[in-house]
Amino acid sequence: MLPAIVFAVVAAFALMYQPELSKPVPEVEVVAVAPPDRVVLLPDGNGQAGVVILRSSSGAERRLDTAYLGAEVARDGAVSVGPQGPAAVQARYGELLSARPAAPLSYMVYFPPGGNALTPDSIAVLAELKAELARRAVPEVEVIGHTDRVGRVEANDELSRRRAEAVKTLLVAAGFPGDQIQTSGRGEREPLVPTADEVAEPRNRRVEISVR
Amino acid sequence: MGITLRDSTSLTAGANTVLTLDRYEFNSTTHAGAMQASLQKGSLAVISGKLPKASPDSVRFQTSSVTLGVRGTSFIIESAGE
Repeated sequence: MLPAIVFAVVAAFALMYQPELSKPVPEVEVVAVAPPDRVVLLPDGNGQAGVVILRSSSGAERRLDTAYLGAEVARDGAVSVGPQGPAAVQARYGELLSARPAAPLSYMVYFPPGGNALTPDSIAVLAELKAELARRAVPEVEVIGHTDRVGRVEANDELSRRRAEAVKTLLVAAGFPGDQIQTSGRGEREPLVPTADEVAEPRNRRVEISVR
Repeated sequence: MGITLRDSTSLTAGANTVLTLDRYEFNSTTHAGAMQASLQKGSLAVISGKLPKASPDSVRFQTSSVTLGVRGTSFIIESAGE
């Protein structure tokens, strides 16, 4: 009986001390993990960031609201959010960032009540604008008219468009191609200085001109 | 390369980028409208324009695994593709 026990013990140790290589090699399936989709919030001109609401394919929802906060979203919809830092963003996306177009240059001209002829001060601003256009190879111009809150909303929509068209006419008369000018009128919707209805406000009777 | 849309949204695409503008509507008087874009692959730098200020939740960018609702901001989105 004793030899049988000794044999069992020896056999057990032999099994325990099997070298690693003699074990059957488990079959590992190598799955190529696709890189995650990435999002990173950038600061605006004032160093602030807006808000992006992120929803992944698995239904996870995150709010990004701080500059340089980034998220990685895996194929299965798993989301990880963390700060990236300006240097990391620059390293990864420097080329893309430097390819962004420059911010448009902005000019403002003003009008008398109800009218679409420029105020005397604004004629000088228009001269500056023309000089800038002459310096650029292929400028595009956006002209947006506004009114104060005197009068009906519909009438002010119309007046704001006439103001924008008046600026376009002046630029075309100066030799700038009309098909590179987009005009629109915002009526009284976007006052520079908020006022009650029916208040005359010279700073709101304006046309914004942006050049890019 | 970059494009600027009528509401001043600026889109700059990196190398080997495939982007589809699925929907774009913008009323230059009321600023109402909507935009939906799909990034199939590559990278895109976005500076949002006037649309999301007037109509929150009207601007969406998506990849195969994520959808972004944009409320007036600047960001980068990158996708390795399918």
